[in-house]
Amino acid sequence: MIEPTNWINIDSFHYENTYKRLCPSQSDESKKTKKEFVFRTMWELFVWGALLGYTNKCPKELEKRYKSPPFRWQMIKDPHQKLLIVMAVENVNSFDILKKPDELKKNIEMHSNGGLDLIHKEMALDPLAYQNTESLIYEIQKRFGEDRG
Amino acid sequence: MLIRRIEIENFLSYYDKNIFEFDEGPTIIIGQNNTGKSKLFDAFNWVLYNRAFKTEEEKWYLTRDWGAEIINNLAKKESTTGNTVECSVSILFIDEEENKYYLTREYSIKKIGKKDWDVAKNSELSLTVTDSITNNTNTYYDKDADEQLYSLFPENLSKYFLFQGENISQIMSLNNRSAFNKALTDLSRIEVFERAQRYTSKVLKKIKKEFENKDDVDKELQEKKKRLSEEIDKLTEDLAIQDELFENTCKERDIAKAVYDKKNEELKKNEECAVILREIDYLKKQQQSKNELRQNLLDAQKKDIFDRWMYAGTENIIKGFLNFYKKNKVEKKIPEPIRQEFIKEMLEDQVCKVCGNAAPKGSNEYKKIQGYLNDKALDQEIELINQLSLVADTMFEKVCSISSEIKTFYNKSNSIDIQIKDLQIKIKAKEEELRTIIPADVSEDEIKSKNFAQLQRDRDNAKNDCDKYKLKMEQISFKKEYMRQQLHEKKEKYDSIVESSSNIIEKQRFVLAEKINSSVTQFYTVFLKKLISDIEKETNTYFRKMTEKNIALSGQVKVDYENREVYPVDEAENRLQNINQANKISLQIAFVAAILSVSNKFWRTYFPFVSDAPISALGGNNKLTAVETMIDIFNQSIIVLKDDAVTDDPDSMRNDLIRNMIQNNNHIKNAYELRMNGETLDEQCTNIIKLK
Repeated sequence: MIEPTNWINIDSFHYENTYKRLCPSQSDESKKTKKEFVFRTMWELFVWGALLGYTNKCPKELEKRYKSPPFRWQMIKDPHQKLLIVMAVENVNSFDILKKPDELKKNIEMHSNGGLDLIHKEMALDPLAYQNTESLIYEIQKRFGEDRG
Repeated sequence: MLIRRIEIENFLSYYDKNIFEFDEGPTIIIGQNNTGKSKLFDAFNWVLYNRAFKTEEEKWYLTRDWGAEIINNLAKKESTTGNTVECSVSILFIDEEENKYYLTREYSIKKIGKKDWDVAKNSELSLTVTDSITNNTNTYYDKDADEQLYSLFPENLSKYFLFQGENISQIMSLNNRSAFNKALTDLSRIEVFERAQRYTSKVLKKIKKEFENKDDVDKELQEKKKRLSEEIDKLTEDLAIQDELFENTCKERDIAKAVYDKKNEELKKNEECAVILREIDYLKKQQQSKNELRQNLLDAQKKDIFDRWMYAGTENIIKGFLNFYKKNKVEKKIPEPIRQEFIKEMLEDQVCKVCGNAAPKGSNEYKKIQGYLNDKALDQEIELINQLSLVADTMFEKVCSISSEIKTFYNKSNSIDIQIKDLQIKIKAKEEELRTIIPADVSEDEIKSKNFAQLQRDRDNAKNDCDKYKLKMEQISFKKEYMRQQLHEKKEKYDSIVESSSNIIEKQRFVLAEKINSSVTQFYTVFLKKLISDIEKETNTYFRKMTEKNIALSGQVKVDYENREVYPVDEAENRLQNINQANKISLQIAFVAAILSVSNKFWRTYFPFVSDAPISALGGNNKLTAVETMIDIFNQSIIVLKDDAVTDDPDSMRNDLIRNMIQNNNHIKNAYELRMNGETLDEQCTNIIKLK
């Protein structure tokens, strides 16, 4: 199993361009309050990215790991930890991955990285995407292929 | 009289040459504040009477007092030292016989330094008259032109056909130095009777003196005659003093009334604005609370988003996992976890409680059970897999209901959005309403900080002054009545002495002079009464016309010349108190129209009605009704109005009542909009846009 104290690796590019933009960080230079960020914590964005990566089947190797990962595995709250593992098991179609924590962690990290790529592209196409809670709901709504009503 | 055109060149806010064309019927000119509306009104006044109104001082000034200021700033800016700048206004008009008149007033100044001007003392006037039959032309200059002009546009009537809405109280005043009394002389030949009365009174006085100076044979009679005569003279003198006092008090009352009207209007306008501002504030607070409600809804939703909603779309993955789990379970690839206490219990009892076989110590069965003891790794893995399946199962159910949860969220959110939009529309409507009534020189902040208590005190003080003068007038009237009675009695006594006089010739002369004087006075009184009655009748005709159109108006108009007032009365002729603004303005317009109508009959011509902001105190439908009435009443009306629309808001322009009336009323053949061009004060000038 993944050790609770294990650091979660993220890509340097996404740390600078996606995490810092959408989540509060210690080195944040914008004058935004914590409440104004659409994701409350970095791990939430990590999970969001991973779910996108799994649903779109787009894992992506990390090009350059960010040198000091911002959170550990234990930061990811339940049931999200378990649900990420569910995604990974389903992805490899084997429970054996549970015996290989590094492989399991890597699988999740790669899918999150792929999902973050999608988020980044979406933001480039639509400047309003991922800007507030409403835009998040709109992103979710799109998955059902229905209009706002 | 019909004004066909006005040409304005370099006059006040009008730079270069500008032309307005007019037809019979109405012409509407609209403009926002400071676009040149009143300067157009000034142009009419200047060309006809050599005067223009200084808004900041609220006074009319002649050209010589205006000096270089009367010429457009941009025209002055563009001129060079040594050069002359000219301004001029011309009007082309025709009379009922189709004779044409072209009237021009010009004024020029010469630049002698950067900001120094050599100014002419007077303007130059010329009037060219073209006979409609012979086509002969005659041109008159300055004084001659003025004389000709007097017979065409009598100055005493000018306050009525050049109607300035803001100075209405002056027009409604009937005291003996008022515009009304000046107008009376020009809309009738009443001054002939006045002169006759003065003359006969003088003659009577002289003859009376002769009669008194000739001693009667009867000495007692002579003494009585002298004493009574002195008493009559004294009473007459006192009565004249009371008359003068009455007129002065009347004038003071009118001034106090004007102050009261002004204060009252200011208070009402400010109060009205304050009410709307309070309503806007309330609506804005409601809007803010709805925005907060919306934000709270979103904040509350944020928890759901990160708890469940972000798993939307993962149904197939979760389902895939659960199927995979079930398959492994069925294939027994995932053994059931066995509790350690249960294993210990089986070892103690030496029996396998799963299959029911005995497992004595040392047997293979016993060893197999022992093998499960402390195999925590397997236990943990199985437990995790089972936990994963439980979590997956729970989330699968939740994910399936996300779609309907989002719909519920949008229903709530859309309902709040509709309420917010509704509030926005209401706020916008209120802000537009506010713009139509907000005084031009007052900002919203000023209204918010207005001291209403002080304003009310000022108004009440003015009202007290007014009431004080009214009471004084009543007292004077009462005193006058008493004196008149005394005078009558003394005159009767005197007449009986006259009868007994032995000086036959003097007596006959005196009686005759008295009869003539009394007849002339009666003639004057009857004539004046008839004139006032005609004006009252006409006022009521116009007022009725307005009440037909607007049910908010009611009552009849009383022109009370005795008390020098015009006011509405009910059917029983009781004075109506606290009339609303719409009623008041309609009454004023009806009165002005009546005076012009009587003038038209007397002068056998129709005076055009040129008005600046005639209804600035009215808004909405009342304003529209008032404009439509003016259009109906006057043969030719040139009506200058404040534009209430917001010119950079298409909705506001589309919905503006006056703009819609301009487009839809077929009687309106000409309409203009005034805008201000130029950035700096010395470059600003009026730009005329033809609307129709």
